[in-house]
Amino acid sequence: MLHKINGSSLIGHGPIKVLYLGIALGNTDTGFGSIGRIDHALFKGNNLIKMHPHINDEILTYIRSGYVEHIDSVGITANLNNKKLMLMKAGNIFQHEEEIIDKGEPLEALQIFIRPKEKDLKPIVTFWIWKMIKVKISGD
Amino acid sequence: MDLENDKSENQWRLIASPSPESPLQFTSQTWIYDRFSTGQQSFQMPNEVKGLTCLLYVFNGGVKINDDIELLKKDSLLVKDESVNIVTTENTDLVLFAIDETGEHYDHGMFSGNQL
Repeated sequence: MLHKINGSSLIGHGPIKVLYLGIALGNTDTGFGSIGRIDHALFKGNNLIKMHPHINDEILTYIRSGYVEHIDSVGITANLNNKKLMLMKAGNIFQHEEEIIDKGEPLEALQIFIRPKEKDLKPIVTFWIWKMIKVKISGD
Repeated sequence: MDLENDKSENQWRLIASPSPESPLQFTSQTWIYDRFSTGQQSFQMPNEVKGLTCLLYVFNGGVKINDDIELLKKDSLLVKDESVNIVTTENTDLVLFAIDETGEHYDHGMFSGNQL
C-alpha cells in the first residue's frame, strides 16, 4: 500500500506546521501507531519558547539549520544544531525551555513526538553528536 | 565520508530505534533514519525496514517514487508491504520513519497521544 500525504495537510499558521498522520489518513487517532505527531518548524530571528511540560512523550529534536539552547528540569543545558541531536524521553514529568538563537540562518527542524512503550517511565535526555560521541545523562 | 559533513550523503543513517546499538533509543518499536541525496540518485529503503510500516518524509527537495508518485517538500508517503524505488534529481533531505504496528505503545502522552 502506498498513500501520499500532501504537505498542505500539515496544520498550523505560525512557524510550526504539524503533521498529524492519523488525521491525514482519515483515522480517529491523531497519531499513527507509535508516531504521535511530527512538527516541521521554521523560525526566523531569536525566539524563546518558555518552560513547558511534557508527559509520556519521546521527543526527537532534529535540526537541519540553526541553533537552539535547551534547558530542562533534569538539570541539563545544551546547545543543539545540525550535528547535535537530542532525544527527550519525558516519562512521568519533564519540563524544558528552548531558546532559538539567530546566528545568521533560520532554524529549520523537526520535532518528532513518538509514543513511549509504556506510561510514566523515568525521564531521560540523551544526545547524539554526529560523528563524535554519544552523551547519556539520566534524570537523577 | 567527510568528517566535517553534517549530513549522511547518499546513504541511510540510523538515528534512533529500540536497539541499544543505535545512536538514540526509543522505548517503542520505532525507527528513524535520514539521508541526504545529492543530485541525481536512485535508491531503495534500507533493508532493515522490511516488514515495517514506513513514512518517507521530504524535509527539503523532492523525489519521485516508482516513476509515478512525486513528493515535494513536506509531502510524505506511507509505505506498507511494498518495495519502492526512490529517485532524486536535486539535492534532497529525507527522513524515514518505520514502525511495527503491532508494537506496544502508550497513546495518552501529552503531545504524542491521541488528541481527539
